[in-house]
Amino acid sequence: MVAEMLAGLVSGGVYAALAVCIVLMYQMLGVVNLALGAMGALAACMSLLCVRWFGLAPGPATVVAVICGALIGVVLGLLMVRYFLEASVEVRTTVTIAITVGIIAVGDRILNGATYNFPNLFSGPSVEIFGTGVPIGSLIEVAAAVLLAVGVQVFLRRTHLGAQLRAMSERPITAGLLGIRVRTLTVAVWAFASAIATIAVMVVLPTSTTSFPPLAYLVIFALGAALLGLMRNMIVAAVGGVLIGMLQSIVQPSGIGRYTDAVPFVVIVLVMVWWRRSDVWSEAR
Amino acid sequence: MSILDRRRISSTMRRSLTIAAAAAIALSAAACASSSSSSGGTTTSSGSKAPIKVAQITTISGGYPFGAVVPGTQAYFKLINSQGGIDGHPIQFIYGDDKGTASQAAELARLYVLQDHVAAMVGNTSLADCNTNKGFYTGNGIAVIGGGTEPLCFSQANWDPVNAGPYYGKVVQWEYTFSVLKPNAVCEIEQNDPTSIPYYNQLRSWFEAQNPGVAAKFKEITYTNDATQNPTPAVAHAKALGCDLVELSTVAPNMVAFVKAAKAVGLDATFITLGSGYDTSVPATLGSLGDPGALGPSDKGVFVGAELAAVNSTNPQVQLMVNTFKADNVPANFWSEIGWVSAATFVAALKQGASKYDITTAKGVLQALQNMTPYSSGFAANAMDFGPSTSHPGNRGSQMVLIQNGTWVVASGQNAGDYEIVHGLLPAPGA
Repeated sequence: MVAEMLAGLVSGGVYAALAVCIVLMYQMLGVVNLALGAMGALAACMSLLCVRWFGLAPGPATVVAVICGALIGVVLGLLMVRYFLEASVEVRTTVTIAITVGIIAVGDRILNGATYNFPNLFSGPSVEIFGTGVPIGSLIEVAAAVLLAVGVQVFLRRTHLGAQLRAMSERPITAGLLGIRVRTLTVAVWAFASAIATIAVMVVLPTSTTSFPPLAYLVIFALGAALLGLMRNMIVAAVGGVLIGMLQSIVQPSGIGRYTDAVPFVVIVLVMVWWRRSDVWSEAR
Repeated sequence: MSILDRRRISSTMRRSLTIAAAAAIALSAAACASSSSSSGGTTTSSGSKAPIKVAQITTISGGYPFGAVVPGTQAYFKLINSQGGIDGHPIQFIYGDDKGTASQAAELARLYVLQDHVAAMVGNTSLADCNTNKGFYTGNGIAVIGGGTEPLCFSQANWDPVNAGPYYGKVVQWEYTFSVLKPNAVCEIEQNDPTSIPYYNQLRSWFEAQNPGVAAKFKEITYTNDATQNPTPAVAHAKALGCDLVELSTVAPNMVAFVKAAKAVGLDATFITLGSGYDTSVPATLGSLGDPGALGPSDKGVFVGAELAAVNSTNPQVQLMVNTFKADNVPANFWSEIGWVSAATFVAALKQGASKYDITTAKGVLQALQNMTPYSSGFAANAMDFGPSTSHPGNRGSQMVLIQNGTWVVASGQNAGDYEIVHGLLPAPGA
């Protein structure tokens, strides 16, 4: 049981990092970005191309990938600012679904079913915990995700720029009239989230399949974690991501292992029921 | 209508159009990637006779992609067309991606058979086609030669797989495992395919009954969507159970992920995978991690039961394929081989029957296939034979290969020279 739980840190770390970014984007920009996994995966593919085409070492290739991730975020951020700044959450979220489909199409072209050696950010030895090797990258990612959540929350509450971002999320037009650079900040948040997603995907890539759609769909599991934080609390979302990863890992070898993919959906349903319990019960009364 | 109203309507329309455009662009891109219906290899320069229209349904996108089947098939048809076609008839080839979904597989089959009036389906390799279109091909007199992935691909009158498939392949895997590798504890990590799980269980019981002592060595059998899940939990579990051999049923990218994850968690075990794991890129991707002993003293290597010959075989027919693939920039792997061998078997049968039947029609093609003499493809343990029977277990063997010094080599100890074959027939599903 302990071995399986620890094995879940690999995917849990990715879910946690993506969940933090989902909450950040929802809070700041009013969009549930379902394209986050696809954006990170596409940028991660750039590292592969850098290694294959230009013979870059893993370190520089990783840096290039993260820069590509940020640029993808900038491009999509500009698109959203240009056309969907005043659209509803539903419309913006729907647009991210379309973006996901488009990116998967491109990613499938790059990873065309063959095997690849992705640059490994943390290729060192695994850490032995309770007799099980845990990739050092996973431990770092889990810690980084929690730190990211804490850091972003502190940043938003304690800094002037954070206050501007919060103002922008509450009243974008008013914030704009008050001189806050709404468009620039929106694009910056997209770029930041995309870069983080790239790093998250790159940590898990060396020991995961190199089929593109599953990488893009990592966001679904992260969404379950984000909902655990009620799309507000990044720390709970990060911890939730780790817990979902561990829960999946425990379930996978069990008799119901074939339903492991259902874990985030069960979490989502339970959270939604809990979230809306007062409304439902009040109405019933 | 006021100016403000006009502006509001204009703004709303603009936004709607933008959303629609974005969605359309994205969906178009997706459609391009999965090429729901695309023509390829339609070289018609040779011969002036009527073309033979051939289609293929393959799972190109999704968690278990078999996309390389398409260029493998195209490469062979292109070669034949460049040589003048079959008895002067050029081959027209179209294909589609069913995305592993039943609805798409059904739609494509009806499109090709009822609208395009193809003479046969060649190279079909899909997780949905056999099950979804059972009865449809037979009812319409359409012959199918392709890569079998589920029980119904091996038990339909008009469906002939060129590969051993996951069932004969699995028994071959077990035979080689217990007669040559002799592990102490085996962990099986199987594909979570509901159509296959009952038959896997049936086969395992049958094999255990035939081989006393084997049952105790199966420590764990798990079913996982390994294409969509991180493999680390499964290998961590295998380590916790003390398994020194892991059996997989998966495609090459996932197999590589499992081996890398095993290294990460410190699992010391031999890996053996079905033919779906055969890909020439695997040794280079794994590097020294693929060599025997890389995971520890219990690691006898990374083995694959290649259902069709390894591409470094010296057989001239295999080398013809390798050279053609190189010229056409086609990846050499299990899936592209399936496309090539399916096309080769189809062409061999039609060449035999060209003087007796109208090979441009579905009826003539089916007759040619049913009356063909076995065709030695050079790629399999058995000669390929469509025949008139209601099931087609033609290929009953696999070539066990393992990684050594950065390349696939034929493993020793196989029961038929360079192949491990199943003697006799497997029990029918549900029997």
